[in-house]
Amino acid sequence: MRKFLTASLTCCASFLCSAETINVDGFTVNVTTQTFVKADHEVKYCGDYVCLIDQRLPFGTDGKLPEIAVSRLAIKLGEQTVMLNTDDMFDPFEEPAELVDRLSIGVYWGDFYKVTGRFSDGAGAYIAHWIISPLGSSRLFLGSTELLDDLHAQVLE
Amino acid sequence: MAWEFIRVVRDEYKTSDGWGKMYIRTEGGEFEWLCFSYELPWTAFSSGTNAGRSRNNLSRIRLGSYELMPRTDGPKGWRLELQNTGHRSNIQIHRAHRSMYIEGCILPVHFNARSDDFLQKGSAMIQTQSVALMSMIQSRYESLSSQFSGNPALTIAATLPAQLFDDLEFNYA
Repeated sequence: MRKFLTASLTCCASFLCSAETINVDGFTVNVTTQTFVKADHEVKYCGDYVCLIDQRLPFGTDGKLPEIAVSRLAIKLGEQTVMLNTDDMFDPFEEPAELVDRLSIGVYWGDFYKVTGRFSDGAGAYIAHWIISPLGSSRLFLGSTELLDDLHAQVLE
Repeated sequence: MAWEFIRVVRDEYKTSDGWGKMYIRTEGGEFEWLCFSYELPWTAFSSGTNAGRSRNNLSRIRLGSYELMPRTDGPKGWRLELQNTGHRSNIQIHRAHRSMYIEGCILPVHFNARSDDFLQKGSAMIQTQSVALMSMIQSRYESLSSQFSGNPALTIAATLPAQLFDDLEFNYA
């Protein structure tokens, strides 16, 4: 099996937090999620739709309040642990173990790698794409499949 | 009490064929053909607590009757969200995107795989026509909803092979 779960739930500082360490394509990945607490955020509604959280577009819900936020995503490259930008990422899966199938990591060039995540807990599916290296990481895309398809159509067709 | 508003009749029961036909209630209480419908193929969990139930993100939902709640805002525009879908959530009738991408929802479209004007995924016309169909559904909903006190409802049926009638379990997503 190409990817496998190497450790189950580990302890976070708070009961609202859970962390998971998995192996994806030969890389050790650590993801931490936290329960979304509305009182801790600035939530703006556009009609019946949650359109901004902390003044930014949220992904992972279809206009409803999210249940969890992705607070940390880290990938080990050799001796370096690279942190990935997880801003605005909510409700990425139903069970943390799903991450094994939702993340993929492949070579870009040299020590640079492409990391792609396809996240969904049943509503508000979204895609995140990063380039990472021992020097750091950049998130290149965060959006819905529809937005990605629109982008593809506008640029390449 | 819910009132039946839309019927979707799948062309095939639990197969890889995602096409069907969508009917809508008229002012006179009859049902008229509105358009074709498109859903994901049926695929179920093979084990675990949800064994036999539709797989999240990957499958259409079970046959049955579902109350509907209109939702208005967001990039998909006016749409109808199915209620009480069990382990599935946010299952909706909403406009198709040109990519036809869905994770369990029901798309109203003006073509199917067997029609003369079949369109490949990616055609902008898919979305344009589907938005128009959702506008028609919204207009009909607004004209009918004042006649009833409860929520509108959707019935999902299928053209069943006779030997499968005993296999039906209604009201589970």
